[in-house]
Amino acid sequence: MESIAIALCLLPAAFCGLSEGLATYKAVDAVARQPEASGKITSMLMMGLALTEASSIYGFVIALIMLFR
Amino acid sequence: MKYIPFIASTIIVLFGYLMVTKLKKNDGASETGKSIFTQKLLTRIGMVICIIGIWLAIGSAITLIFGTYVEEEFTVSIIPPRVDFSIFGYQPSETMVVGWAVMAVLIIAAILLRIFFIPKLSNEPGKFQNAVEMIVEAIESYASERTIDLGRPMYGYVFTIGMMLIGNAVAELMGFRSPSSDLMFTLALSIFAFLMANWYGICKRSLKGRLKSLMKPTPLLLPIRIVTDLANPLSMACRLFGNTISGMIVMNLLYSVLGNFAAGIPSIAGLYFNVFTALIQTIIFITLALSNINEATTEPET
Repeated sequence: MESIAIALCLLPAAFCGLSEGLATYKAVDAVARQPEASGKITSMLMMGLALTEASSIYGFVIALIMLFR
Repeated sequence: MKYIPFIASTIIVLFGYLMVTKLKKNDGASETGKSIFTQKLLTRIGMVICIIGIWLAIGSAITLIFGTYVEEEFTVSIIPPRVDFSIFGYQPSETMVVGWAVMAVLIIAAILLRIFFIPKLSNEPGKFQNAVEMIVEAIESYASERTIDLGRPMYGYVFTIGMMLIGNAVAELMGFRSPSSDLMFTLALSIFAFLMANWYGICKRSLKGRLKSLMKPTPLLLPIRIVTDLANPLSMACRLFGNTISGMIVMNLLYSVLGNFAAGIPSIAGLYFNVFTALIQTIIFITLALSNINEATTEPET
């Protein structure tokens, strides 16, 4: 039972991957349209990706806490 | 019988070495014989074979000397282990000692710079002074872009937090447990950022103004806004902690999988898992702290 709960905690990682892909797709689109703005877009993309990744990290931390109590 | 893997790997090294040198010797004849492209390709392949052979040789040599790798049970503790010695009856944890070491290095570097470098500043900068000026200017522009009203105190804060987190990454690269993989350390940093945001907010716009900005859309939302503000340091702490400890776990797994052959590969993987993610998280942490402070100090637009 507990292992199922731990596995469910890692579910955010899947959605996190999906949303990161979406963000990258939009960023690539924007760079293709406006190559001169690539520097700004890259930094914003990095920032957004790191913030998005936090959602999966929260699940990961909770899973860790459940595993190694 | 147990010398076979070592001998075989040395033969592979010799084979790769011969491949590279033989091809180098044939340089003059290359115009007539093979094309330059295939020759370059073969040289590359020879180099790769040589490197793989060296890696195998190192691994098998370690196996010969220290015996086969005994797999231990893989455990990760969220609470870092305590060290052996105690200070006045208090046992500090492992990460605390590493954190103190990083702080000591940073403080000594700062004192050395203050004593030997600052008095020698001149109008015609040398190479080192140019580099320092570039760093300082980059940080000043970064901080003043995000907190327009505050200025000088923020530069010091940004630089201190940034150097501390980068120092942690370097310490982890050297094989210690990074202080950022301790929830207490990250919580301390984020609580400090939270207190600073509130302190500057109250200083700039009095307690009344700060409370007024919290119930901006409607006064009904005040409890939710307060809970959001209180949850902010926890989310920042968990973000930094989770990123660092996930890198640490991946590296530990890599070490336990490779066993005796852990020469070279972990150092390349560590550049990504320990340094790159740590740098990104440093930037994220600083940006979030600064935006919190900015939100607390500036008048919200209606």
